[in-house]
Amino acid sequence: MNRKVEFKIAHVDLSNNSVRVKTTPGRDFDLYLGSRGVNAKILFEEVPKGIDPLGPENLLIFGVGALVGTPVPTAGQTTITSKSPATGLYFKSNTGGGWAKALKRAGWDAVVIAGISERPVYLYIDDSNISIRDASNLWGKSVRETTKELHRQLGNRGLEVAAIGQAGENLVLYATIMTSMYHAAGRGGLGAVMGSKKLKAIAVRGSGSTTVEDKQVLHAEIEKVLERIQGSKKAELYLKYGTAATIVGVNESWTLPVNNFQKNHLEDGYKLGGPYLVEKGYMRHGGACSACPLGCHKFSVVKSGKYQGYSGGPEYETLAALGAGCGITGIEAVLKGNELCNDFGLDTISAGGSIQWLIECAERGALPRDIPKGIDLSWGSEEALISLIGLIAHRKGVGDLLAKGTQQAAQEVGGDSWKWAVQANGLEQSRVDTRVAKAYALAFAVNPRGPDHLHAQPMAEFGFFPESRRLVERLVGSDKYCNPAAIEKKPELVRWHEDMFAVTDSLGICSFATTTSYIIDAPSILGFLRAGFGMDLTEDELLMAGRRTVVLERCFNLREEKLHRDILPWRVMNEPVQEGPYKGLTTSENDLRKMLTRYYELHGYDLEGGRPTSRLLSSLGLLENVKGIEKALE
Amino acid sequence: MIHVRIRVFSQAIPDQLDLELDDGSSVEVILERVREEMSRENPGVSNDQIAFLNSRDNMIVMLNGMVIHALAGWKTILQEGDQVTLLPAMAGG
Repeated sequence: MNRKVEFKIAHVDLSNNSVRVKTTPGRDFDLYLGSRGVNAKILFEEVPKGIDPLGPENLLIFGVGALVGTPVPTAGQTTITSKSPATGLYFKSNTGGGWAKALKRAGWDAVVIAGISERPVYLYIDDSNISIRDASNLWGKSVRETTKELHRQLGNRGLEVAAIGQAGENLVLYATIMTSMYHAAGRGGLGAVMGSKKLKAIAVRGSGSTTVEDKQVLHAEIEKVLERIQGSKKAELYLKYGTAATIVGVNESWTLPVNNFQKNHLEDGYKLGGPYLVEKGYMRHGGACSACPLGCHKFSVVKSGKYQGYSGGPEYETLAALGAGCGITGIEAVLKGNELCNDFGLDTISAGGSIQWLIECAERGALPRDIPKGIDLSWGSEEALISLIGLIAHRKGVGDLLAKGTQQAAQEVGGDSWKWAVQANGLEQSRVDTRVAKAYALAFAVNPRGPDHLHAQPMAEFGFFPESRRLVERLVGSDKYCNPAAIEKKPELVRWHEDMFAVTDSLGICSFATTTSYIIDAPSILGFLRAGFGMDLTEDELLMAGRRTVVLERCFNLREEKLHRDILPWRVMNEPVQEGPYKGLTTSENDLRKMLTRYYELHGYDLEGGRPTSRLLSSLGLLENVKGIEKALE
Repeated sequence: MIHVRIRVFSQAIPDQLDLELDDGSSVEVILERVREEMSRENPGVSNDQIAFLNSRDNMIVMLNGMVIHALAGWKTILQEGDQVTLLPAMAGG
């Protein structure tokens, strides 16, 4: 018998300084399992079609995963959901640190921010007390300064802060929200939504605890996962080097985008990798997210010289976007770029993508106006990287153009510059060469966020390790489909990873444990649900709960006038790989069409437009559960 | 005989070896040869490096940039001028 699980939500309207408490029906937990799904439902029902993402009608929803607060390994994640100013579409972004646990301990499952404040404010949540406070003295400050100042004002004990930096205040379309100082809800410009609401930060302190259905059984399930982690080389690498370890393998498999996706391999790419950073004394352990035994979060230091400084990270995507993508292997400059992005509150992927686009404009003689004099705009220019990050965050000179993202910037500059804006649906692509990796290509094309890796991360397609090969064999009958460059069976792999990623997010566990390392598998999650909530599901029902969220998110985009297109950046589809084992490869329109057709078929979408049918929405329970969802079918 | 270049990423800076192998050698023979050669070239080779070379399940093997499982696995036959890369397992980011 399921325990009835309701979510307690604080609804804060900054236009009239009101705070209301809402509770979700227990049925919502049964359907969506937690934060990401429930957030998507709130966004669909309460954000009207066609509104301005930076206007008062947009919502910014901070949802804490259902297992957060329990000792389930890696259960420390927050999903932040909104309509993105970068894409004009649905967006969810996930972040770690300790913020989620603090909010859960304060007794809240979600905080929904509506309206726009007249003056800068921050929110202070102290258990059940929520106050909207003046943030005039914080406005203009960086993430680090803001977080430290709030700790000074409110006391350190148990306080966790989610904050924006100058980029969010200045409405840079790829501004981040940073939790616990160095953990980014990075993509899609949700920091700009927060800035538009004049909300500088949400500081949280909680003193409660989380109850579970059967503590003993839960601990037995946890033990099994911990044993698996202890015996895992992948877990060991996460702990030693974080996601930075990945650079070496991606580079050696010729899928690391270099010079704005002109190339996909760096001769000395290992100099951006985790082992090199640790060996040279730049990177050390950074403190894990709450409940996480993997401990992939790192901290980096440059002790002296012009790039002296420190920050959290760097992550794989940062090293790839600010380093390889700009043609830079000088690690100290990349670490400074990471520090600046973290501190200004800028997404490193889109910042790197925008800077690369500008460098290619210079290479091709298509420069926009307002280029600062004396900056060397060439591949490998450390000076360009560092100076442009500051200009973007403050929207000065050419930084104002780049702050709009490459889609809009290319529209303003004109000519062929849109061809080397490596974006789709307004989002700069994450750092894997999707000309080669076809499951990633499909996953990026159908991602409601745009071409990015944190909606489904089908790493299994590379067959890098036994667990991934076994998974592929289980899903599609043979591990011979572990071949990134082949399109066969990729729709099946993508759909499983999408479903599992949605489950992972909603429960607040980490995708690095489920859909990239495959350490926490479906049977473990089913055990957690049984022990945590008395919920008895089959594996199919678990995946169905994830799929329900995936389809609902798609429906949000279908309802918008500006239809999300299942597409990849032009370069990926039209400019072949120039050298290496995959020379000549693209993910052509034909490749994509074949994969999409099968993907639509698997979902039960109509095969032409990829729209869910009324029958599908009914079978998923969405037609009766989500008010107005039938409008997505029109 | 064929000549094959091996790059081993068991530590921060990769080791590089050039091996001469019999015609028709498969990827499988490489591990033993690399262990022998690395020990001979560098008596100070670390336990971590040896442990890495002893653990097939935790190793990614690429032939000219392609994971061998997309080819014929350990039985893949090597050709003159091939490059084989040995990497620790990794888990994404």
